[in-house]
Amino acid sequence: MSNLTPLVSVVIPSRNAPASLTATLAALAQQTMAADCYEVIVVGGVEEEVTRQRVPAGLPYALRVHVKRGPGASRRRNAGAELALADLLVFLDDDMEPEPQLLDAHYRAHAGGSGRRVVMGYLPPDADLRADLRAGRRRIDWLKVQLSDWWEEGFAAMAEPGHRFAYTDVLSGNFSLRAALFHEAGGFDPDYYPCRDDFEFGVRLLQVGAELAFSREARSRHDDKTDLPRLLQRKRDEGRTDVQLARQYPHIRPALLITRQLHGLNWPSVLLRRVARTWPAAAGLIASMAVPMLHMCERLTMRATWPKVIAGLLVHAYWQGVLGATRDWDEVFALTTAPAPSLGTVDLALGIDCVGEVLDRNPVQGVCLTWRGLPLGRIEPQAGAEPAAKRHVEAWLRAGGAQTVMRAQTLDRWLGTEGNPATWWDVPIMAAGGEMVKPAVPTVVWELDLSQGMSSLQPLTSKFGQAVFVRKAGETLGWLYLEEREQPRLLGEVIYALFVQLDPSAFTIEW
Amino acid sequence: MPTAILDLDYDRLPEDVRGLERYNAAQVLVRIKAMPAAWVRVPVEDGQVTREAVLHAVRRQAPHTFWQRLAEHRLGLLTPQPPANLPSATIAICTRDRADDLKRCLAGLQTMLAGSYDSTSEVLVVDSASRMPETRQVAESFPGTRYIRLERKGLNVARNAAMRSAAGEIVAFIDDDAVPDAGWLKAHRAAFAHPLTMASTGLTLPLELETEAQEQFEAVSSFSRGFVPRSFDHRNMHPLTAGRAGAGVNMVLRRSLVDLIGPFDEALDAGTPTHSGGESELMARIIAAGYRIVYTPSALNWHRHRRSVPELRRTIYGYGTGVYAFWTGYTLKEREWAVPLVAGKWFWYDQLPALLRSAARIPGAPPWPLPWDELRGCVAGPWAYWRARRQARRAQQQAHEHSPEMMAA
Repeated sequence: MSNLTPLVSVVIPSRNAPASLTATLAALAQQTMAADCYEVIVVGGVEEEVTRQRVPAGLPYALRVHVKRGPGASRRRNAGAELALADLLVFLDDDMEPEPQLLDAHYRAHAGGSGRRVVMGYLPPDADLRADLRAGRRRIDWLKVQLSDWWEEGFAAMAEPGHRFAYTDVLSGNFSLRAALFHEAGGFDPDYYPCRDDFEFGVRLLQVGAELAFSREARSRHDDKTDLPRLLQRKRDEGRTDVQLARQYPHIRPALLITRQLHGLNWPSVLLRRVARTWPAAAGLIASMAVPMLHMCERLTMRATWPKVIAGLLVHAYWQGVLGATRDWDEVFALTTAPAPSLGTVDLALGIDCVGEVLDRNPVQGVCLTWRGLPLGRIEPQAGAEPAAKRHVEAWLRAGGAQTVMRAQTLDRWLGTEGNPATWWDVPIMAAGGEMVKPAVPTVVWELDLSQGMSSLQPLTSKFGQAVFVRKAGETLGWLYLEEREQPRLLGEVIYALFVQLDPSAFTIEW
Repeated sequence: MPTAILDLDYDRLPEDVRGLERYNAAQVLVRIKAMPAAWVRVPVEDGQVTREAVLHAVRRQAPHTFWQRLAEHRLGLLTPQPPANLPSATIAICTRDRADDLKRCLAGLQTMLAGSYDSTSEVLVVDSASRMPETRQVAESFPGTRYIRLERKGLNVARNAAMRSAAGEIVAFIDDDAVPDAGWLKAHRAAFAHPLTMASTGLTLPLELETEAQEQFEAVSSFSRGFVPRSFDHRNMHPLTAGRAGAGVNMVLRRSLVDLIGPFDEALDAGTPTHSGGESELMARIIAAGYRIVYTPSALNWHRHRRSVPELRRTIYGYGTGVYAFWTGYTLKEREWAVPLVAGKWFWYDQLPALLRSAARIPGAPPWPLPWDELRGCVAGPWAYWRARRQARRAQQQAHEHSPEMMAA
């Protein structure tokens, strides 16, 4: 073992030092990273001797065992971070078995970064658990499948290149960040117990400008022991700690379930929420009825009903937690109001890279995306999320926006406005001779040949209503119907109408 | 009149394609950056298809997703994915007395593997009790091809043998009457990145549309599942309708699947009274167990449909039998009680309208008597399953008594 400062400090909070801790420590001995490059700090909640008994013999890395008493893993994580010698902290839980490349992957994910990166690792689902004939089981445990689906949904979203990271993506197990950033954000808050300590830390990390990231390579097996009673207890705790979050951080209120479930629940869920309020003692009854009901659903393979029952139970448990932590219904309502998010506008005609720079300079929550002033789409503000950036614009393009932008580009080319910094909107349409085109009210049929620019917007007859027959170099594109008006028509109005009314395929002839 | 099949890239459309005098129309696969993106019908005029005609057809017929893909391509958003850790693969062809088709398939596989510099994937020919010696001769004429012979017929028996003796982490099944596209195996291998993905299916287009029967098959029972990649699991698919995820003609399975949910049901599919349904039953178990099936259009292969109308009618009859046989077996084994519901829905919303429209010869309706054949097949399904199961049991008992391989196992 060398006397050099390690590159990575692994912090493992372990309250009761369960048997799984031995497996965690043994797996850390199998890392692809050289053993003298990292140290491991186990922070126990019981006597040091008890924790030491879980340490396997002959570990190649430096291990320190420390004791910090008190409820919640947050105290132990903070104590471990205080003791860490390395610049990079990796937090693991005592029920995880990291795969050999985990530390390498965390280390590499930070290389070349700004030092403000927070890297979340991946907890892959156990494929064997879903259906394992070797164990002699015929039936599949639907709850296990459901739980692993929830984990997977979260990770799959984070793996998307255009994912909008939010405080809800911060998990307290298998994640890494620089020690300086950990201390700058203030570490974990022990007041959040037994859950939401990770989310609360995430809110503060985003406030100090952390960049959240996800690494599928930083994989660790995770022994999730959740069953229905534990799940319901956890939901109750989440309800209670969400109230705490809503009180402390008004700006994340729209993202909390309190706000999202206030309206729009289906009637059985609303009923259950009401029961949670008016008859708190019914919780035990509901839980005892739920288990046979779920079993019946599984027996009769009622695939559509089972998730509804689970969803209803979770609503009930969550609101039990919320209502237990609030005085009355009025306070709940008060906890759902939030300050207005910051909004901005960027013009896509600048080019995608330039758009990225503009967004980096002026961080905003929601963005209106325009093309020469014409609104094409928007990135919705998301409470408690990172500011909008270039990759979110790219995600918008991939989700269908690319076609809209191509249409705008095509129009630009047809009208010869490429490279023209002016907006489309407020340019009056001039006739070929330079005079303003005045529509002959009230009823005019115009013909517009896009290959000749907007100056070709000429009245044809005065019979059939104010419609424009649009062509491009002889090929028919379609009809537009414009509102009647006295003033000269603005280019933007016609272009807006082209966008909204023409069939999208009309623009594709030169793609 | 037969229909020509063309395969063109949107960025490199030729001015015209000549020499199509025999055809009055062409089905054109239009690709964007080598990815299949649209399947359009273009009229043939004066024995040729012009660029203008293709563009016109694309503008009229291409789906919304085609334009989205093209727009992303033009805006430079279609960046190639970084190469992931691809699983090793075994390509398995289950065949019985179709030496000519097998030859074309093996030649296509050879070209594909050479074109992608793939020297790790093995090719396995499972001879399902062929009566003629040509199958072995053809397989042995392609160096590097492994050949195993089974004395018991049955497609699912052969598939199980392939799963047992494959060396790769995934087993890619291709029909002997199909030919792979250049990127077929690579696209399938990339689809297994996720640990819960147990099966991958791909796009299958007709190799030729030379006869009336082939046109009818494409109209009634096309293998195509569109040009959008999709992922199926228990949240968006009922196990009993798992056949929608793809067909055995273009299906790749994770080999560990057999340990997790069991092998193919040997009472189902070709070579038994049930005629088909084998892969649907396996996919149903995949979905019911909470795993995923991924559909990747880039995993393209070309299938030669049945050439004669009697063959086509037998195939369609067999599909009906297979579905009902699969449902029968699935209810008995897995206690899935939704079968009458799903079957009733299928009959009321799809089969009955198709039957009536076909009988009334309404334009655009499936040609008579194919819906009737399918329905007759359905009625025969449960009984066929019962017979097939008895046969399979007897054969398994005999195999246990006689086969030294089984004794050792």
